[in-house]
Amino acid sequence: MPKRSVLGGGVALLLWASAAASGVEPPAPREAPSVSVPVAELPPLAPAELPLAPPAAVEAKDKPNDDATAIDLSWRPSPDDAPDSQRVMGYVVRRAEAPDGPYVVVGRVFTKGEGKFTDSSFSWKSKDREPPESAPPSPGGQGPAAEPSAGIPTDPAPVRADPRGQYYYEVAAFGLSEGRYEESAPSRAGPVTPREYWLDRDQINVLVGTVLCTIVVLGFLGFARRGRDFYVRPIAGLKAVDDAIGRATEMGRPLLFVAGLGGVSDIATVAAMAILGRIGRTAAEQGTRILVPCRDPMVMTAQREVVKESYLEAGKPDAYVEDDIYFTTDSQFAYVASVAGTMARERPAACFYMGYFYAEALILAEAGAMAGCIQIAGTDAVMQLPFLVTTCDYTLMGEELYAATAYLTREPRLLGSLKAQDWLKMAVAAALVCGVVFAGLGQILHLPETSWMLKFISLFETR
Amino acid sequence: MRTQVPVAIAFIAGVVMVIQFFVPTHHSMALRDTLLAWTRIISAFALVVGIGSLVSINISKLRRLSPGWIYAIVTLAGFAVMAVFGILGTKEAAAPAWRHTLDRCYQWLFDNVQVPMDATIFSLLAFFIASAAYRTFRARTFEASLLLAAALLVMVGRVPLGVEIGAKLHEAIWGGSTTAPVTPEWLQSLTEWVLNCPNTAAQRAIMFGAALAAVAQALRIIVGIERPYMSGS
Repeated sequence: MPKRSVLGGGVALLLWASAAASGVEPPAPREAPSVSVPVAELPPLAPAELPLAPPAAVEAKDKPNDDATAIDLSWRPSPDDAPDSQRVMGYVVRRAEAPDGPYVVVGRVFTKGEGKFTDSSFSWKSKDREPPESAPPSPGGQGPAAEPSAGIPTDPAPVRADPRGQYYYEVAAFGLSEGRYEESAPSRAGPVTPREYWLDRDQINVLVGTVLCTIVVLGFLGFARRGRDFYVRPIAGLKAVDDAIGRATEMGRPLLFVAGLGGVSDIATVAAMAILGRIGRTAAEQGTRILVPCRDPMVMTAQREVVKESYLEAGKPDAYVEDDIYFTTDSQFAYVASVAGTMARERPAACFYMGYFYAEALILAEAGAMAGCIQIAGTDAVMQLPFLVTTCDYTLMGEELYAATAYLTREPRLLGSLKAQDWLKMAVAAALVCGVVFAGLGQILHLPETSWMLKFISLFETR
Repeated sequence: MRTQVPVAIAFIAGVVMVIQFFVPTHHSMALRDTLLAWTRIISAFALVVGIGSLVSINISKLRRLSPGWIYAIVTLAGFAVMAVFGILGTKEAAAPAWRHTLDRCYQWLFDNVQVPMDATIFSLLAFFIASAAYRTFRARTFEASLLLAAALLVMVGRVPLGVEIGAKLHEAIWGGSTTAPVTPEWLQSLTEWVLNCPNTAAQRAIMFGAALAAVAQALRIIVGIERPYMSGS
């Protein structure tokens, strides 16, 4: 009999004997390190003194749809990783460029059970791949309990690897036994090479949707260019814009424009700037002052340009006052206090709230109501819409905010794109109805996931 | 030329960023990172412009002694103190003690001035909700009456006082009594239905419309028929 079998049999016998004495089933025999000691000379061995068993079925795969900077690892838990056992605290993952090593720690997973880890320590920049002079220690853990515990070695920050290389991985279970760090024999996987993708396949449905939307919008722009007339339903809030400016002119009071709390890259802020351009031009024509307090310096810079252009287009560049478009603060409630103070002091005749808003929407609108202003709001912030609807005289809801420029200018191409939106909405509604019907039928008829009805629904899932 | 160059830049940047979203190669990611870095640099410069605007407006208010000039002093003093404490103060162990003191002063001012003032403004919401609700819930129109009915229903089903009212209502209609007031099951179901069905449906409809409109607006900007960065279209 080979030595390993002799030892394995001996350990099994001992375990069986101890288990029989305590009245429990002995655990299944497992492989132990090869030691050439006769069975008779072995000291009695308690189950806890066995080395930790390694995890099984370690798999290393390229993470799909990325720029070759991640490898996904998975494994089955160590047999010692039982829910009621505290022996295994987690798993340590190491990486090497050759099967024989040297392996370096790339992370620790402080979770039990089925293991998953994503090694993202790859970089295309050679500068990032140089080992730091004094690498700061890093717990390198993933999972809920990533805090390093006493007794568990602190791993150095992993050096980033070249995505063009081939790599091997090993995963070992670790834990603490009477305060002493212990680790199982490693289970290995590899070789694996990160792969670079030219198309994010998870986003194919988004790509198709984008292409369809583009075709429909460009198609309607073409119709508009050929002179087709489009009907756009009246939008009360936009019809009231000119009245509000007229009121301010008659009263000799300024207008106040607030572009929300969004940054310059938010599409709602961009839509707000388009409306500001239109309001600015009318205000310039009528000689009405327009105040624009800004929360974001970049938005302020852009809005200054917009208002300046408006005054130029109105033929009154000298009337433009740069200081009327001003930065206050980027702190949310300090900004609200500043705008409310401006309302109280300057007594604007009309206030416009266009853009993305958070909790400050109601405070702004109530301060405006107390100052006796006509208030017109427009936002796609669904949570703030009820507050604006209840406090403002007119509210542009969601898409109406984006329709403002087309509605106010009546430019045929812009109106064409509004019509395209209507057709796209109908397509979305049709897809929704089909999805609801198919999902219902799937439940009633117990359709398999492979049925075309359920596959249709999965087309709209995003990852 | 003055209009064509910005439109061309907007078109190229828009198309490139749309393509970048679907192409995850490292060149594409590097391009995204570079553009994001540019944004950060531009925003840093814009911050300087913003601070310049803040200071110049408040100084001119002081010079002209325009109404509320006293607040300009508070603004400028607050700005100067926080800027000095924030720039010179540090937590670095090797730094001299006076810089640690400045850092502690900065933290103290932030915790004891900025945070309570923020909380004060935020707490105004409670009063403003009440006044807004008073104005809105005067049932003058059919829509306002509907809003009032839905709001009452949800409040009775959700708010602690409403729970007690609901329990009393249930007792009055169907009899029986409970030691601890609990929302009757039918009221709970009705409240849930109002929140989950008509409310969520309306929210989703608005979101669908807004998302499609945002796509259309983005396309209009990319192809240059709408130019919000140049006073509209």
